[in-house]
Amino acid sequence: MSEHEDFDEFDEPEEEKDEQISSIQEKTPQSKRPKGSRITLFFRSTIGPGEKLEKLVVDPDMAVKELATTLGEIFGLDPQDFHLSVSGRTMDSDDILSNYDLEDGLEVLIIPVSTAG
Amino acid sequence: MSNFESNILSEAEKERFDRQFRLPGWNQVLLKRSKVLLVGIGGLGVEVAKNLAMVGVGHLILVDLDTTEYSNLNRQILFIDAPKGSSKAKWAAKKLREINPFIQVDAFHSPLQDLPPHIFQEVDLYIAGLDSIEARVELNRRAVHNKKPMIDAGTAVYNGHVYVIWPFKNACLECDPLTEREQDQLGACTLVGIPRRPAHCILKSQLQFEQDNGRPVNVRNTTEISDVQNYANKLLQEYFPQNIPFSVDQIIQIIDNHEPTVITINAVMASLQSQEAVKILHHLHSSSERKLGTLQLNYLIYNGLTGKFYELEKSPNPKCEMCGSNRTPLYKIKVKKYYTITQTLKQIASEKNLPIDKEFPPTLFRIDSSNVVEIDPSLTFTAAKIRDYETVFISGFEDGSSIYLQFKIEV
Repeated sequence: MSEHEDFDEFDEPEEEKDEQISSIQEKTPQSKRPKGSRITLFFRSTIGPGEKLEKLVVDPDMAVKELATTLGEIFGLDPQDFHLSVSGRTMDSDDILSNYDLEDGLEVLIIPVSTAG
Repeated sequence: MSNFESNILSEAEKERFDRQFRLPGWNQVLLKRSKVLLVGIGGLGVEVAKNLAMVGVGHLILVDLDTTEYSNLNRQILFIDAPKGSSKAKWAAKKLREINPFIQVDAFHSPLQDLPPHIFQEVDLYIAGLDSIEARVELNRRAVHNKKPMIDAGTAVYNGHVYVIWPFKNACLECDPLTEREQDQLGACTLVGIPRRPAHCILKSQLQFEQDNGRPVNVRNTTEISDVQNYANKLLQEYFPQNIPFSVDQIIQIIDNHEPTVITINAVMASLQSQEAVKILHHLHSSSERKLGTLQLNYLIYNGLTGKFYELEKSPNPKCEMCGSNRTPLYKIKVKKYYTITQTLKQIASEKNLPIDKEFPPTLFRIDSSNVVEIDPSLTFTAAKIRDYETVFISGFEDGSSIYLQFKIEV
């Protein structure tokens, strides 16, 4: 098996490149965009089998819980398995986004709920 | 002073630690004189304890309320030959003394809340290998009140974190609103209720089994598991038709709820904790300007599936209720053991301008205990069994305020 491994890959690289670019494109459907002041945020996953970065336009009045649900769908994660961390603060799921100092372009980390010992 | 020429280390110790003496900046004597509290001797705690014992930290204090199980053996090497049901703390202590006979190891088979309070005061630092937020928050309070560094870590599946809490330097565990992961038990979901989440279908099925059979499901019995699985999937199809049916693994994980853990992730996180501990001990005790490295005071996340680390800078929350402006003040006072508590309380109240309503005086609570109870203030410190360095919580001053008092008991 190991002998043949060296010969295998020849057609993957280009596709992968495409995927990486598309993965940081906006995922919010045009129709769902909130009116009024919206913030563009980046979300980076620190959990799961591959690091992903996604861009999302959000309404500051949105509940953290609701955002987590949306992110769960985009990243394929159970919202119970992660917290959101912005500028070193872990967001409270009962809060709304505007309670945090969010500005355009800010990166929010999707971090593990690592409580096991 | 060179470790090689030290007269505090025996010849046998010099031989044992020879290779680490050669590390730049290393001070074995300093480590021998150090005292570390390890809370939680499980997947992380066992690894940290083993590391610190091998490194030669002179005095380790182990605390764990748990006993050993066969399922610990995929990751907790100190329990390999432990009889099932042994005290984790005590068995680990025994093994550590075998690993390194030159150190002192004390063991407490108890919740961390019930440790004698002076221990939190006299050790250099705390290391947490805990599995609940509640216990971490409790240790965090001791760290803030005693101004001791606390090296926390935790794992989740293939992830882990390490975070050194240095009270008032970086965020403590209460600086963030910490929301505990909800254990999805049958809180609001009953046999007759409509399942609100897919997982509730499993819990309903489990409950049905228990009702029919008058006992819990045996997770090792494939027939029983498949009964639970079938009914759960029937419910799933009814309430969440778009969902993929539950696998046997999913059923077992919900019924027999244990976090998945593996030695590879535990060992990484525990080694990071151990290395920070060694550095912190050098920082705390070395008089020289040249400290061993720099401390990592950021929150470190490890993803074992990608091999990546992430660092989060966590500054203290100025309004934190534990370490910020919203905190309940803590006053540390020296008292004689024959003083009455009332007498001491009156004195501190007048010094700190805390109004006492004579008809409704403040209430004192014993909080350095797993059993929080009221303390009768008419007693002396001896009679009330207030221990050295014990902290009590006092609430109900006339202006509604409360305080913590920590006592140094003198004869």
